[in-house]
Amino acid sequence: MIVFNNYFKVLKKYSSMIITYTIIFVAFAVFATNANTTNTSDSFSSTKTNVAVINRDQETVLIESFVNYLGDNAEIKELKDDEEALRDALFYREVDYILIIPENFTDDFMASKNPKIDTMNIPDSYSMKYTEILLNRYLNIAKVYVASDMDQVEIAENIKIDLKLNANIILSENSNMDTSVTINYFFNFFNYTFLMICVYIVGMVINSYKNSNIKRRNLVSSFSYKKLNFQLFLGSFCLTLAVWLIYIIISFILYPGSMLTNHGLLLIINSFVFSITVLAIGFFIGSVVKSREATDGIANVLSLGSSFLCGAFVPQELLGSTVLSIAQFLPSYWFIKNNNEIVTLTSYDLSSLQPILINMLIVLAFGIALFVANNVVSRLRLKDS
Amino acid sequence: MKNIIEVKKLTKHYKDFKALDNLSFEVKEGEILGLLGPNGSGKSTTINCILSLLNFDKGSIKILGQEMTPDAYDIKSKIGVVFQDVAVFDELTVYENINYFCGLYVNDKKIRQQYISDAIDLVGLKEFERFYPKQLSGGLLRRLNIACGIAHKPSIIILDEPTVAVDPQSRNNILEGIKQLNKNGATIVYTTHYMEEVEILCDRIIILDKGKIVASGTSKELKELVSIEEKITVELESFNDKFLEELKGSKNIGEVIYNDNILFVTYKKGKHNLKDLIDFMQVNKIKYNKIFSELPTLNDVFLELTGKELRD
Repeated sequence: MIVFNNYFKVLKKYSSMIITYTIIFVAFAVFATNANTTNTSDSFSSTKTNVAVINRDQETVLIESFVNYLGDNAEIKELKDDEEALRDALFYREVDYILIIPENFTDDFMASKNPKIDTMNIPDSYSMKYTEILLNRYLNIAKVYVASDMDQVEIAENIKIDLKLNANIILSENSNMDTSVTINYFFNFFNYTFLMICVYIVGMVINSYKNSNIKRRNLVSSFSYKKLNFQLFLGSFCLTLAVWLIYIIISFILYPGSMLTNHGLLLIINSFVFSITVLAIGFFIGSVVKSREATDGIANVLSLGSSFLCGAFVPQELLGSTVLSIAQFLPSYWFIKNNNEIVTLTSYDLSSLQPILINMLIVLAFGIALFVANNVVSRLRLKDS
Repeated sequence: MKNIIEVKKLTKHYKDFKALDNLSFEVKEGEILGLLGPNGSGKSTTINCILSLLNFDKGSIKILGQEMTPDAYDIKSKIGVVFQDVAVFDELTVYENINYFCGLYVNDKKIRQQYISDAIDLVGLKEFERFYPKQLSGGLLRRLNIACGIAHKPSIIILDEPTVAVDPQSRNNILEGIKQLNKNGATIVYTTHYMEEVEILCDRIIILDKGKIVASGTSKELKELVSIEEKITVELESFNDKFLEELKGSKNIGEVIYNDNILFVTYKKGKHNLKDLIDFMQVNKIKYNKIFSELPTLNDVFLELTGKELRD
């Protein structure tokens, strides 16, 4: 096993690089963890939006009941019925939503004429959507009672009973999204440091062996070239496996509770599949690229470029469709996509796991393609020389 | 003595360029054979064909009586090669480099340790064992290159211009080392374009030019091929055409050239040429500052056979 043993002696020269990148990685992971633990995710309380009601109708029982209901679920703000004042209030966020009840609203409503309540709001805001839900819920129920020929007092009393029910929200351990988000960051950032370490080091070591002068010396020796290549592969595999294991151990230290869950297990499997492809990338670059400077450059471009393009630094949801279309040609995209999908999994039956498995197969396909390409290139080069 | 290497009618083309032209020679057991020729004469191509690093168009190569092929590992285990370009790992120390290349041939760790120690002693790198190649001078690096090629104690050693760009001290060390290896029983093929080296080192010399053997034999045999017996150079204060013509008419004279107070005379034959020339100058009261005599070199052989200098 002289070539295999020597692989690790050559590797020694690059050990400082492994340590440096691992420190960067751990620092990032710790930072991400701390950034996500200063919140109140272990309790739930509903929030109230600021709503103003401008009533241009009479003070009717129906409207009074509606305003009371709103008051239970939102902060009612008093505003002057003046177009400019209303706009200013919205602009300066004094209120999030303004309801303008038109004249004869109650009469029209009771006559089932479907009168409309005018609204002014902050478009696409949560407060807008929330207030609309409140409004629709009240009016839809009221319509049902109007159709049953009830008067305003009966309608107000019934709706009061109906809408009194509140849902109790219990946060289960599985829905602890903050830890999931942090683990997601951890494994997405893994794309950068792991790619950099493995592609650079595997590339450099293979590059040393494939240096034309050393290659000639290996070729004239009594050591079979096939055996030499196999031991080089074995060395690269062990290195990749060792770095992967270090990262997995770090994940267990940082997130002890979360890694022993279904999510954790799937993330570990996903990162292992990705590691095999990274090994293939490193091996291919080491064999094809002739200079160390070029290997260094490619490792940098590949790790940084794929991390930016595929969503390791910026979430995939925030990347443009063109960027994502290009990213699909890189294994990192499927690895990161899988990380994102794994942390949102709620059930683990075959149909839920199917897209995850398909993504893993795509990542693996990249690796197999690179191994085949490396074999072909090596054979052609040996034949040429 | 039996033939260790037999090359027969070896022909090799690089596209339209004929690098080797029907080359045939043998290397006898225990000898140091020098392949001498200018750059591009086919020395390295011959070596690469012998080592199966290059395919060739025609001919055959036998080593230890067996056809040489890329997977003739039995034969390869008995060959040590030192290439012209230094082939070592920058990431490994001197010791680790020798250990790796020796390990390609020798599995046993204890034997290997002894072999490495012997190789380090041979090339004089004992105090540099823990140095990395980038910390070594050019000469020391060449010595390491040699140690990596011969550490496994091969019975056939092929050295392809191992002293290119080496300082005189390292060159002497390398040449002494090669002599020592030969004394220890190794058969050596040594290619170079430094004629002094083959003269010091080689039992037999093959002179190559344009992929062909121009001449072969011992250094003495080759020098006998040239028509010059002696070359004399004199630094004069003055000299005139009358003396020049008179000297040209003297016996055994080959060529007389006078330029910038330097007189250059070649003699075809004769044994007392220097004395005759000194007598001639004294009789004619010609004052001289320096005078020295040289015997013909391999460069003269090459010049006479090909019409060009070895280092052209």
